[in-house]
Formats: sequence, C-alpha cells, structure tokens
Amino acid sequence: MKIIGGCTLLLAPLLLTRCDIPKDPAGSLDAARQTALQVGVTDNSPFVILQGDRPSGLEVALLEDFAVAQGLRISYRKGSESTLVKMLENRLLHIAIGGFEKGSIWQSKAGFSAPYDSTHVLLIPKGENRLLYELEKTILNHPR
Amino acid sequence: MIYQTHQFELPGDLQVQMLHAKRLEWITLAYLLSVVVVMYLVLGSSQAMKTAWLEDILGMFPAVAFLVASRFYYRPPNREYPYGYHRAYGIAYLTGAVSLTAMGGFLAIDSTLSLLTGERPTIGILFLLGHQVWLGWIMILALLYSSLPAIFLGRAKLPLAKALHNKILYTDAETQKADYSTALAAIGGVLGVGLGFWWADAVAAILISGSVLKDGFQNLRAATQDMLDRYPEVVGEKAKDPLIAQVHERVKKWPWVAEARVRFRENGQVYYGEVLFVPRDHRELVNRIAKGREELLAMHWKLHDVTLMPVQSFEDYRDVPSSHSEGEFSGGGARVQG
Repeated sequence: MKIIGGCTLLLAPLLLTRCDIPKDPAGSLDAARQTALQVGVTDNSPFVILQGDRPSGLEVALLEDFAVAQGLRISYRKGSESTLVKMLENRLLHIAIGGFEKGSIWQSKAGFSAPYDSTHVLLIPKGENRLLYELEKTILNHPR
Repeated sequence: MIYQTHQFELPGDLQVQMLHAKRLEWITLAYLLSVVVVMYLVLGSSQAMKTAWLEDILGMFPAVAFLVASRFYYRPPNREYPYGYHRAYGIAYLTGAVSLTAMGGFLAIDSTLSLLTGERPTIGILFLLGHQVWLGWIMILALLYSSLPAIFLGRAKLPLAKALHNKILYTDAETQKADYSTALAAIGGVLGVGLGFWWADAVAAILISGSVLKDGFQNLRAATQDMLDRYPEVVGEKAKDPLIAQVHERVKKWPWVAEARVRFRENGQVYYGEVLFVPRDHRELVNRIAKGREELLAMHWKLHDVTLMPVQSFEDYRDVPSSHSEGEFSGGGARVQG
C-alpha cells in the first residue's frame, strides 16, 4: 500500500500539468475525429424519430449540437435498443440514443451520460471518459 | 448468595482521559458520517471509490462500539452479572472484527470480479461554480477529506488507548492512522482511470479490500485471543504485561508464603485472577490473605479482582506443557522454580 501511495505522490505533479485528463481507454473521441461519430439510433418519438432520410428528434438535435461543437461528422446506424447496447459493448458505436432512461437495465452494459432533462440519458461505451466529458459539456449547457 | 465483585472505577487521571477519549470518538463519528455522505455523493461507477466508501462506513464501527461499550463497562456488578460488565468491550470488539472480515472478503471478491470482467468505470463531469470539472478530481478531493483529518484523530487517540488499556480504542486509532494508504490507493485508481487505464480502478479496489481483510483478520485474532483469556498483553505491543510477573514476585516475597502461582485474564480494560500459594506459616492465615489481597489490588488499577487460595501443594495444579513453551510463564500461569 505504501509503495503505491508513494508512487501516486511522485506522479501527482506530473499528472497535474497535463490537461487531457480524462482520457478514453479505447480512444473513442479520437476515432470519431478521424472518421465519423458512430451514432446508434432507435425509433422512440419524440427523442428520436426515424422518418424521412435523416433522423430527427430532441436527442438528434442535442447530438448535432455536440457534433458541431466538436467538429465531428455523424454516421447514423439503426437498431433495436439491445442491438445498440451490444454494439456499444463491442465498441462499434460511440453513442447510442433513443430515449434511454437513467437507472434502466442497460446500466451494467453501457456508460450513461448525465440526464439532459431529468430522466433521459445518452449511452456511450463504458469507461470512455473523454467522450463523456465533451458530451456532458454539451448536454449540460444545452437549453432545456 | 452470589459473590459480586466491587464496582469498578478508573483512577482520577484516567477518568479525565476516558472523557477525552469519548469526546474524540464522538468527533470521529461525526466526521466519518460527513465523509460517508461526501463520498456517496461522488461515488460514480468507480469500484475503488465504492470500496473506499464501504471501508469508511465500516470505519464507524469501532467508534460506535467503543461509545456503546463505555456506557456499560462501569455498571455495578449485580446478582445477574457478578463479574460486572467489563466484557462489553470484548463483545463489541469481536462483533466489529467479524463484520470487518466479512466485508473485506466481500469487497475482495467484488473487486476481483470487476477486474476480471473488465468493468470500465465511467466518470462524468460536474459543474462547480460555473466551471466544468471532471468528477474524478472531486473524488480525489473527497478521498483527501476522508483521510487527512483521520490521521490526526488516530494519533490523538493512540496514547489514550494505551493508558486506558482499551483494545477497541487502540484498534480504532491504529486503523485511522493508517487510513491514508487506502485513500492514496483510491486516488491512484481514479488518476489511472483519468489517464485511460481503466484497470487501475479495479486494481486499487483490490488493494483496498486486501487492507480491509488484513485489518479484519488481525482484529479477529486479537478479539478471539482476548475472549479465550489469553495471558494479558500490553495494549499496542506484542508483549506480556509485566504486571502479572510483578504480582507473582510480590506474593513470593511474603514471608508466610512458601510457593505461589498466579493466573490472570483480561476482562475488557481490567484483570481478574487467582493466586494459589502454599503457606509456610498457617497462623493468622485468613487475616494475612485479606491484607495480601488489598496489597495486590493496590498495585495497579488494572488488577480489579483477585482470589487468594491456600493449597497443600501444587500436585493437583500441575503445569501442562503448553504448545509453545514460553519459559517461566508457560501455560498462562507463573510459577516458582524449585
């Protein structure tokens, strides 16, 4: 224990000088910057409406704000809730939307953002904390 | 009619220390409660934080046990409880040790599973005074709050525990003094996650649960040995209390005693025991025993009750060779050589 403590103390100044904490363990945000933000959508009005050529709805608008803020191109993929969560688990998606609620059963399989209203959340691959950091910045600044 | 021991009272200066210890334990309790609330608010999905939080909850136990037991221990003995209530400390101590060990085991399994299943902690952000802050930094602040004041509390309680011969207070002080290592491990875990090493969280949690488990085992052993009436030890040292040998020496010096053996056990803060002796001179024996008993009880406040018993010889009180021979005091009693 003491050794670990000592190492932490030694590392602390080094760490504090770096501003890119937190990082994504799997590099989601960097990947999204290089190619596109892979977004999984499931039909759930009024959050996500899958009619016409492009998805629309509350959460789609929120996500487009995020993409603009980060200068990201969005690539949408459709699927059921469980397919989308499975894809997040395998890190094939960066974000999944579709009126997911906080405290739902997916909590053990996907990372949840802070709720943008008081119940609804966006899903990310677990542990992608940089992506979450930037995403929550948009979510929490978004006019409700 | 039941023979009841006399009511216990700490000597004057120790009564002051006892009050001081109680006050410190109330402060500890209030502080730990605030720590538990603060930690709960920033737990997030970090396994290390969860483990450290549960450890903080468990950390309240010794303080609670001490405060509860110190309301009982000095109660006057009565017909139902002729030995008084000193064992209240032992019971509180054992219960705490069992729960600590059980929780340590649970946390070790939980944290290991979390590592094996590749559980990645998702830590978001928080708005603090209009600024966006990564929750990890707040967690680190909470962890510092959970450990730094604890070190001072622990240090303040340690000398009191030794003076009062109070093992539960001692354990509490020792664990708190060492609590910073838990916090540092958790901080390491959170920082690791920040740097993108998701496994750092689970590894930190495993280390913390290891330390909980270690504390649990140590306490369990001490509490059990205590309940088994082990030879009294100095609190905080792995040494036999020299007081017992001193009693033996004193008895041997009495001119009317040919040979003696003594045996004491700890009942909470105090000792109960027997002195067996072969009288050299049978005159005035009852008076001498009464005086001798008073003399022994006056030696130290810890010697709470002692029975002096004259015997013909030690034929029937043979020392059975003990599993670990420890010289003169083997088998838990002192005896005269030759």
